[in-house]
Amino acid sequence: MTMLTTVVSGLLLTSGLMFWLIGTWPLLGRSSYLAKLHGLSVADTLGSALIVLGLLVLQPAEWPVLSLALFSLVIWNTLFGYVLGFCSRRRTVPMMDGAEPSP
Amino acid sequence: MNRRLSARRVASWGLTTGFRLGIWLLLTSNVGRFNMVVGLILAMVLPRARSRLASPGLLLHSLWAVLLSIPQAYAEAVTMTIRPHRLERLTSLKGSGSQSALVVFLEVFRITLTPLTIALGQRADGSYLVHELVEEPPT
Repeated sequence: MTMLTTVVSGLLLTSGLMFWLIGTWPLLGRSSYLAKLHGLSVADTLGSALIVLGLLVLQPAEWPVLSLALFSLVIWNTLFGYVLGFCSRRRTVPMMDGAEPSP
Repeated sequence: MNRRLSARRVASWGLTTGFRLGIWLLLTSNVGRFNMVVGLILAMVLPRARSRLASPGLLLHSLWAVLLSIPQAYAEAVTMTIRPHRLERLTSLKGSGSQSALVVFLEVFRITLTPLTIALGQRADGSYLVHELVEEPPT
């Protein structure tokens, strides 16, 4: 393993962990449900993607498993975010067909 | 008209089969000829969802938009970290208006992937109801 791969993977892993911290911190606060979902998309989707990319640089031989993990993480986290948002809407925000929603 | 429909069918068939074959090859991590043939047969035999077919051009355009949204998502995540976005609002984003499940999926994915916007559903006119975080105006 060269010095470069160690540095690049270290940077990717650290920034992924930073994104995780930044994204999960608002979960403890008093912001609204949907505002917390925005934070989760930073942590869950973008942070995890960076961590898996860091592992990919570290262990290139494992690329089939890691790219599958990367793909599934990004797709499922984003889709769960949408599903949670969609379900919350039923209770709090009626669907205003055709009309512009008020802010 | 007929030719356009068959082009859509071929594009949709090819995308689904290619996607399934890709997943199979990644899962087995074996690109030997025998494994390829098994994967291809499985990809063709597994049942397919019936949905409206999108034009290949629209599909490619939606895929490209998803790829472009990845760097945008990271840029938004960094912006959110540097300057907190505390105001929430509901807006509406225009969609392509396509009835194809795949195109709707790609559009919802593109909107929800970026951390400042979450799609909450599709309206009757084809646009999307979006929950957005915005920066507080300077006081």
